[in-house]
Amino acid sequence: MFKRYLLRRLLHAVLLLAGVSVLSFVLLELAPGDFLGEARINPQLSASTIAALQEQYGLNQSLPHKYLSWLGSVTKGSFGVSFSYNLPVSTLLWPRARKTLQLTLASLFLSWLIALPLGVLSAGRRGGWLDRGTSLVTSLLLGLPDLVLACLVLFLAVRTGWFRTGHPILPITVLVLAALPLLVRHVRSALLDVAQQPHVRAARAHGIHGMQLWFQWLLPAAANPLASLFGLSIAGLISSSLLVETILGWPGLGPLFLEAIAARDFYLVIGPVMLSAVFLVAGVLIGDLLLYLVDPRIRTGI
Amino acid sequence: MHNDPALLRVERLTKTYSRRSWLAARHPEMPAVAGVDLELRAKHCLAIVGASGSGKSTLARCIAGLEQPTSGRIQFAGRELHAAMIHRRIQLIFQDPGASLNPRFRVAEALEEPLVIHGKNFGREETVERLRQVGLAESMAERLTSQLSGGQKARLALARALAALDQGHPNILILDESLASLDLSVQAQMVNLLLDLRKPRQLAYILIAHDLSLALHWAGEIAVMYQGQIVERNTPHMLLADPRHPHTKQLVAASLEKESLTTEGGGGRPGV
Repeated sequence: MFKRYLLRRLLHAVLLLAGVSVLSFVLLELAPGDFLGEARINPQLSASTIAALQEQYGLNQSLPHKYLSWLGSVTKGSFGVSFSYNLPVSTLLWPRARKTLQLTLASLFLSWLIALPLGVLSAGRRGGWLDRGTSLVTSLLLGLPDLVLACLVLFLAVRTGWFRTGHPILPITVLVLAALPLLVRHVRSALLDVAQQPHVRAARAHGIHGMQLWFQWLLPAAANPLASLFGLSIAGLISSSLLVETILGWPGLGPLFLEAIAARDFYLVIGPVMLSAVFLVAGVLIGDLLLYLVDPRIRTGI
Repeated sequence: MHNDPALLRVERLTKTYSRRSWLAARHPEMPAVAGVDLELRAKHCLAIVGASGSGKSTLARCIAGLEQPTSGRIQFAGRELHAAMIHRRIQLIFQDPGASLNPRFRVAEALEEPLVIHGKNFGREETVERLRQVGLAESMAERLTSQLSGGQKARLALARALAALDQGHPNILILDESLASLDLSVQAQMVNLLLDLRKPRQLAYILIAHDLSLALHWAGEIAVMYQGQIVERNTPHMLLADPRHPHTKQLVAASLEKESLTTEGGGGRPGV
């Protein structure tokens, strides 16, 4: 049962990644300019040199040809070659991906650690001071773009001098604050939603209350939407991480990605895109597995 | 009137909902139940019929102790019951009995839900016996409630309500449109099951419905509710023959129309 569930999910994941890779190739090909744009308007380089470079980088190959040779390099683990570094993309990508993952996993853990109890307590004492306070703060945070939040944290760090720029606590703070409002609100509304369900009301009518009601009725029933949200929050954190890293000077995938886009370094753009897609798919997969663990109905295949 | 006292006596019951608001202190709303008197004798069946919003469900919830009346008295066997005691003598089956079962529970667990707060549970034998009583096979005990059909869920909800009630005493079971979501053949099976359980389990029924169709067949008395009040009470025969209140007339007309549409006539069992 579990094997079949896992296999089906993995197959979905592979198909999704294939789709993402094709789409990124097409979109990047459609984007104007290429790596040699600068070189072409350089009067010191002759047309024959440009043509030689084009040949060397494989820029004049057709899109399907590029895609297939890229796929070939994926099987060898190199993910193409970066034009500007003249190195396999993988050697550039892995150390940076590790940095990004450190950031995202720490923020993921922290944000859920805060969001779960806060959402539960807000729902439990609906309309109380904690609920109102949380709602106010989360609305405020929701209104602040990640960019502004990052600048604010950077400003504070520099002004107070508590943390040097580049300290991991800065991007983690920004990521947690950016993820928190959505998570808290979802946890709260999932629980309030569940509390209105007939089977919870029936349990209440049978006098069940307190911890027993929370752990046997409310939390299990609210776990489904939250398990899916957990997977999606991984994906969300990765994508905001790319931005936050760039602003706060964290040597993760973000700065590399931006640099690669500016230089039209084709395969170095595809690399981080594919990696974030892998993280996203992994996040959703983890969410699905959590769902499988918490809901006996999925286990029995209804 | 009768020598034996009523099992349930409701006097001048009102229930008013007030809506709390951030600005004004409180706005008293229109009362959902406005001064209802009724009585029910052991092992009898009373139907409360009214349009949605007439207050019948609120009345039922007050009687079942799920809601606190604003004013008025509810007496059970001549006494006012303590809140915890009410659930052991009066049980309500919800509008959608299937949805009132925890979908993550096994049938045996769901059956024992009313026992949880007492820290008790049924042994295997009693579980099987109780399932059998409502027509569920022993093999069902280990299934998840979400794996049952609509009819089986309704039976389980009934078994669960019975599990909450003290055995060996006259009790009351309130059906808050509990059968409305079932298809007609399953509905008929449930009615037969309820009628069969009436004597051995000493059950009196309060049947809440929005039309007369079920009520006419098995209620001994029908109370018509309109805007929070009981506007007319009579036996099914008399109600059909001589409806007084305009709302009762509407209900009767609607039920006759429905009857003439279906190929099979009234039939059914006479009132109890």
